[in-house]
This record gives sequence, structure tokens and C-alpha cells, in this order.
Amino acid sequence: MKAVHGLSKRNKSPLRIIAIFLAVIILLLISMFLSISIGSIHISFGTIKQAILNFDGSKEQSIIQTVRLPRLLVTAFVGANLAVAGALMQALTRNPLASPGIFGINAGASAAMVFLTVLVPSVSMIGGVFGAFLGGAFAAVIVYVMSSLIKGGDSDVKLALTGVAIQGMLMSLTQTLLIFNESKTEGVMFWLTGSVIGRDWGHVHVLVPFSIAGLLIAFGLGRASSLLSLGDDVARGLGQRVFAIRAFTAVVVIVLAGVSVAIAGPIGFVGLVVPHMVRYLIGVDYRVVLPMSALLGASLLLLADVLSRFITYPYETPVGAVTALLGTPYFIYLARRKKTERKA
Amino acid sequence: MNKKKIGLLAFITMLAIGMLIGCSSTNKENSADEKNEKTRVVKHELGETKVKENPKRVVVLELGFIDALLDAGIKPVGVADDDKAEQLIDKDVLKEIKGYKSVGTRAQPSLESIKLLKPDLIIADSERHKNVYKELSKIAPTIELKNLNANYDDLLNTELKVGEAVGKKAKVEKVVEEHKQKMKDLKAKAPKNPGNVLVIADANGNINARTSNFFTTGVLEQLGFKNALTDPTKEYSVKMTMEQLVKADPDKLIVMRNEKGHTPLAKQPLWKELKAVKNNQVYEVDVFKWSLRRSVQGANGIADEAEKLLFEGK
Amino acid sequence: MSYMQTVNKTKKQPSRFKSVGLFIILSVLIIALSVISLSLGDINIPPLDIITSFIGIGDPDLTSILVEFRLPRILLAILTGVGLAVSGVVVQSIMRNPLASPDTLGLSSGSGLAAVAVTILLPLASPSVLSAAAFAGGSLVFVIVYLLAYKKGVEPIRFALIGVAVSAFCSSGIHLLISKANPNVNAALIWLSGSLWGRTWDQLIGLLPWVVILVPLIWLLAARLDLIHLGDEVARGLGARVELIRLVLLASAVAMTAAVVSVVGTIGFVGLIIPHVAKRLVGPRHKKLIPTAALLGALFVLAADLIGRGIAPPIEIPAGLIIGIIGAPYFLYLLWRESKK
Repeated sequence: MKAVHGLSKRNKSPLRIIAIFLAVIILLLISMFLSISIGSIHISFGTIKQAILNFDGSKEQSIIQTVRLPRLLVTAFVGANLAVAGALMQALTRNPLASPGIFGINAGASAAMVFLTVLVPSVSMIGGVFGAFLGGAFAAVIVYVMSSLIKGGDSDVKLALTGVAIQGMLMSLTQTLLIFNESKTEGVMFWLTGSVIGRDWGHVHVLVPFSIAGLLIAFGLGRASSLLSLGDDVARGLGQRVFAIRAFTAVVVIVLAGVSVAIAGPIGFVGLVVPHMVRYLIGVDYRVVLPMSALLGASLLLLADVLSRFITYPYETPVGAVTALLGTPYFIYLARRKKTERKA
Repeated sequence: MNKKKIGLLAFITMLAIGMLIGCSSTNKENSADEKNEKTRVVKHELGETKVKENPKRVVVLELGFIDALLDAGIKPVGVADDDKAEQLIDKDVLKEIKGYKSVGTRAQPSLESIKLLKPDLIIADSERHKNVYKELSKIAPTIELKNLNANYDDLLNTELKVGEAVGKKAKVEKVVEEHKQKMKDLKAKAPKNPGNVLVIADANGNINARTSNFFTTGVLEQLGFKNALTDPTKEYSVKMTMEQLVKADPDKLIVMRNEKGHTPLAKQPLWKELKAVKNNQVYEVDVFKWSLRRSVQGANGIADEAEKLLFEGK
Repeated sequence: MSYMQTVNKTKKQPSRFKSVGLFIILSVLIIALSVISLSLGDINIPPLDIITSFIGIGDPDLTSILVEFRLPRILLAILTGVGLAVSGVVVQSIMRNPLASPDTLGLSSGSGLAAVAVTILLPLASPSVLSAAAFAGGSLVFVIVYLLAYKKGVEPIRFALIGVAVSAFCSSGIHLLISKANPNVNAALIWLSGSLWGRTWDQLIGLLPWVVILVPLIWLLAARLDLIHLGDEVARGLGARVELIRLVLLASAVAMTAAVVSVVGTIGFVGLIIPHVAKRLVGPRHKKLIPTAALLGALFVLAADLIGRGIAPPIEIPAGLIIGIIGAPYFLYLLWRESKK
């Protein structure tokens, strides 16, 4: 029996869970505020209130409306998507190290994006997003299918091996394109690190519908995920149609992570670390873990984005770099405290 | 077990034989190096090199050197052109140097190809090719000059060095003097308070702004246009957000594009807030002319276009 | 059951004759590929001319091309393949993890980060500074990972976890540096792809002692490794000083990888894939596994460099990218084919 989450399944009282939800929601609101007010031009709370109540087209309010607000929405949803996708992946593969990246989504989207940049420099934003999404989805499907074609052996290992191989291939392709097209690839380098800079309402209009749909469906998978995380046999025994649910969950992961990477580039660590934090706080019932992951993921990415405006002031750092900077120490801490278990 | 040991021994023996051959050949090569011709010592970024008095066969490993070489009246026999000559080299220049042999990419030029051309002189970029300086020197006298990372002053120095190295110092000095004079004349013609300028590359909505370290901004500064970007940085290009662009609010905005007539930036709502947009002071230019042609001829081209676009007596 | 134990139980020991035959075949292949590699390039040199050149009576230009450029490059490719493959075997055995390779322990990304930092932030530094930084970066990161993973001993799983985290961290750092649209980015990218371009006798001689000394050392400890393979408890029972041997082996593998990477840049996959392929050919006993992996690795890198050079001369595609683009799918194909049995 696999008990891979490494933490005892404490039964958290409903009161505690509600309290933590409230705390996270407050965190989210604070980070949303910071996200709007902080930047190369600081905007005070008063102005923000004015903008909501009494929009008057001044430059500052314009900035809020056209730059900060869409950026906030993109960041929040991407954070939520990635966190939920990560939680689902970890339940699906029963592996606490899993994240959407294993499927090759990041590598596929990056390859597609660079490919487009080089071959079709005038591609529109929407075109780029769709291309990246297709690339990510395609890669994920290949990884999933190929790892199932290989018979026998530990399925987690197969998935990881296949993922690593496909990622490696895609990254080599991407690097080849970058190296041999020096003059054309200036714009794409920043994207490859994961960044929400310059994301506008156009991006929001693409991101939000997919995100809301994906997230709601994911929340609906809460009970199934809890059972899946206990092991295929248990889940089957409890009447779950395991194969169908696994496939369906994989699709949701691909959609959530795919659209996020397509819009914001590959941002790491959120999908990996947030589910751990959530499980630490409220246990392993995925019916609450998933929504909580969404909230916490959104807050943390927003905070990371705010931080990214400061590190090399006045210039900005890609938010993907900030998540790595913050995520790594926490992850190391996690790795050290967990009781290591061998998979049976 | 024995067979395996034999295999390993054979392998190491082969290795050793290979090395012996290598060492002996290199020695032969060095001893055959007798120069009875006159040579000149040229100082460059990585040291000093003895160059033949009048090199005829020159291989250049960065594109900016082509212009400089032509200014000195010599055509290169080999160019590292990434196999993309049409895209990277100006049409007229390409016609002039037709018949040269490509030696591969600028990043990794083929040493064999260079050797087969039997050059008298190799001109390399001091950033890209510093790791192979030794190997290049074995093929032919090599000088390494700044081009990839060059700012405006570096560009002029490079031009002069090239002239010196091929023995046409006077000719090239004349070209540089003419350029400097041209810049002085243009500056006199320029509007007295032209305000500041920002040069950006618009890559699919991404704003990459050029700093004062970049040679194009250097050219513009010679004409009296200050750079709107004043925050100190060692980079030659920085990523800006729309917000920051609005904050910088340059008087004139130059947008470098790969393809004409396609400015995704213009679709952004904050675009209209820019002073430059309101005053019709946004100019779209070809990225090749304004960013990729790093030579004195390139600078002349930029200056000419700047005159056309920016000198409207405002 | 663990992956390793499964492999142990199902693989029959191949006969001695078969494995000797295999070595001979592989060695012949390497020599053949070397000859082809000597012959192909911007100018094709027929084998006859190769022989006359080596004897000393050939055309001096051709001789010079062979000896100055092609021969050291070929030998370097062989050394690289040997070093990376053998390191891969060691790491996978010690970590008891089929996904482990020096890359996943943070070595490649650590070297990469140091090298990219030097390339982009200190563009005037000499090439030996670059190599030294890469070596130091890789080794340092490995030591950091080891220390972070140490908690009353080192458990392979914790080690792997922390290796992955630190690797990702360094990768982000690399991406960050690369995102700055600095003109030297291209050089950094090429270094990260792993390339044999421009490497000649100096680099070869720099790498040679590492490989020539460490590979036999590792091979000699192979017998001990086989004991460790059965699991800590058993090995302890057999009197082997497990932790020490592990440390020495790991340190050797890391040093060798760091040396290779500091010369040719980060070539991935060799340390990951070759051990698997070798295992399927000769089984998991290290006495045979290590030389097999060495020969396979040499073959692999040699072929990749040949393809990269020969596809469209004078354009060169870095060998590391060829390995990624062709090697990775080939590896999957192998896995799939094997699983059908």
C-alpha cells in the first residue's frame, strides 16, 4: 500500500479547515491589492477605490485598468491552475514529486512557441497561445501514450522515464532553433522563463473561460482523486472506474496546465510545492485540497509577481525565476523532513 | 577477463599512438613557420599578432567586419554567414563580395573550412571566438576585435584596426573621418532641442529597449538625441513593460521591426497615453539596418535614416 | 518490487563467449566510426590518404586537418562518451534509481549555471576560467546536494529529491541569465547544448588523465558495487564498508562528469540512457556492465558528433543536441521493444 504523501493522515476538524480557508482568502485579497498597487508607479488604496467606484480615465486609473488588472487576473488564474493541476498529478501518479512538467507540457509548449517565433514571426498573440497550447497538449499525449505502450514494469517509473526522454528531445529541438536563429529569437527568451509581463485583456479572455471550466471540473473530481491517491486497487474496490477517471483527470491536467503555460510560459514549482503546503495544512481529502490549492496557488503566485517587480528595480524579473528562488528552499525542507518511504 | 584487459589495452594504445602522431605533427608544423616577408605587429583585444604586410586572403568571422574590409578595399575570401547570407548581409554588399566561401555559423565557424582557404589573416570577434583564438592563430595570423558587444566608440576602433591590419590604414582613416564629419554636419542640422529618444525592438508585443551601451543609441547620441532610458545598467538591452514605457515617456519612439506594418504594441490601450504617439513621433524602422549592421557603414545608414525621420524641425 | 530487483531476477547471465564477442564488435564499431569520422567533413579525405598522412608522407594540408582538428576531436568524443556513461552507471547503481544520472544530482545544472554566469556576466574571461568555473560549479552543487541530503546518512530517495530541487533551481538561474537578451546568450546556449567544436589537443590532454585514472578505479571497485547492489543490509553483513565505498564511487563519478562537462559543456542523456542499454545487453553485474557502458557511450557520442558535423557542412550542430533529438526517441524505442519480450 502506498502512503506516499509522507504525512500522517490527521483528521482535521471542519472548524480548522474553515479557519484555514478564511486565512487563505484573506491572503488572496491582500496579494491582489499589492498586485494592483505596486509597480514602477505606486498607486494608493484611495486611487484604487476611486477607480472602482468612479472611473475617470486618468492615467493612473488607466494603468490599473489596462495593465495591472489583467495582469492580476492572469497571474491569479495561472497560479490556481498550476496548483490544482499539480495536486491532481500528485494524486494521479501517487508521487509527491509529480508536477505537470513531467508530462512534457512545459517542454512541448516551449518548443512550439520557439518554432512559431522562428517560422512565423508575425504570428498573432492568439495564434501563439494556441500554438503553445497545442504543443504542450501534444507532448503530454505522446508521453502518456508511449508510456502505456511500454508493457510491464512500474508505471510511475515508465511515465517519468518517458517524460524525461520526450522533454529532453523537445528541449534539444528548442535549443537548436534558438541557436540557429539568433536574430529572430530576442522576444521569446523572456517568455521561456515564465513571465506574466505584458499580459493584457486579450490573454485574459482566453485564459479565464478555460480556467474556470477546468477548475470547476477539477473540484468535482475531488472525491475520485482522494480515492485514486490511495491506490488503484483501493479505488477499484470502492467502485471507481479507475481507467476512465485517470484518463479524464489527465485531460483536465493537460487543459489547466496547458493553457497556463501557453499564456505565461513555463512557471515551475507552483504545481509542485503548493499541494504539499495544502496537504500539510488540511490533510488529504481532495475535496478540500483542490479548492484550497487553487486559492493558495493564486495568492502565492501573485505575491511572487509583486516580488518580481522589486528584485532588479526598476526592471522586472520573470516570475518563473522568483518561484524557483522561493520554491527550492521550501522543497528542500520538505524533502528533509519527510520520512522516506520506499514504494512497495 | 584477459580478453577484456587486452581490449582496454588496445584502446589505450590507440589513444597513445594518436597523441604521439599529434604531438610530432604539431612540432613539424611549427618549425616550418618561417616568415621571410615583412610583418607588422597589430594590437587587438586578445594581445598582439604579427600580420603579413599586405594580406590578400582574409577570412572574417563576424558580419560587421565585411563592411570594414570593403572600406579598406579588400574582399573577404571567407565569411561566417550562418548560411543565411541573404537575410544577414546587405544586398549591395552581398553583390560586391560574391564568390566568397561560407565558413559556417558565426558561433561555431568550421576551422577546417577556414584552413582550406589558406588565409593570410583571420578577423574574429573577441567575444564569440576567444575560446578558439589559439586554434585560429595556428591557421593564420588572427586578430580579435569587438563587434558583437561593441558600442559606438568600439565600432570606430574596430574599423581603424581592420584598416591597420590589412595595411590600408590611411584609406580607412579617411572613411572614419568622413563619417565623423558627416555626424558633425548632421548634428548641426539637427533640431536644437530634439528631446529624448527611445529605441525599442517590438517582438510580438514584447518591448526590448536599447540602453546607452548599444551602438545605435550611441549613433543617435552623436546627433544630439539623448536616450530616454537613464537607469544605469550594464546590459545593452532591457525588457520593459508597457507601464515603464509610459513612465519613461520618450519624445520620439523608434520601433525596430522584422516585418513592416505590424505593431502589436499599438493595440495596447496604454499606447495612446504616450507623448510620442500623441505627437506622431513614432517611427518604424527595419531591424536589420538599425541593429544588425554593426559597422561604420551601418552607422552611416542609421544616421541617414535618422535625418530623414527625426529632423523635421520640431 | 524495485526496478533493480526486477531486472536482477529476470536477466540470465550471458555466457562469457557472448560478452567477449560483444566487446569485440563494439570496439570494431568504434574504430570504424572513427575512421569514417576522420574521413568526412568539409573536405572528404579517402582512407588511403588518411593512412599516408599518418605515416608521414601525405599532403601536408590534409595531414594537418586530420591531426589538428579531426583526430583530437574524435578522441575527445570517445573520452566524453566513456566518462559520462560510466558515471551514469555508478550513479544509477548507488542511487538504486533508474532515473538517476549525474544530471539529476544537480551536476549539469550547477556546471551550467557557473558557465553561463561566466559567459554572460564576465565575457572577457579566458576559456580556462570558463572550464574551471564549470568544474567548480558542478562539484560545488553536488557537495551542497550531498550535505543537504545528509541526515544521519544519505538515503537515495532524499538525495534524488534534493538533487531534483537544486537542479531546477540552477536551471531557473540559467534561464534568468539567458532571458536578458545579452549578445552572448548564443554562446551560453551552445555551451549548454554540449559541443565538440573547436576542441583540440589541449582539451583532450586536459581530460585524458581524469578518464584514464578514474575509469579503471571505478571498474576495480565494481566487484564491491555488485555487493552493494543487493542492498545495504546484505552488504553490511558481508563486511563491506558500504558508506565509504559509495562515497568514493560517487565522488569519482562526479569528478569525472565535472571534468567532461567543463571541457565540452553539458551533454545530457548519455549518463541516463547508456546504462539502461548496456544493462539489457550484458546484465547488471558491473564487471561487464562498466566496460560495455564505456564502449557504448563512446560509440554514441562519436556518432552524434559525426552527424552534427556531417549533416550540412560547414554548419555544425552541437553534438549534445543531436543526442537529445535522436537519442531520446531511440531510447524510448528500445524500452518499448524490450517490453514486448
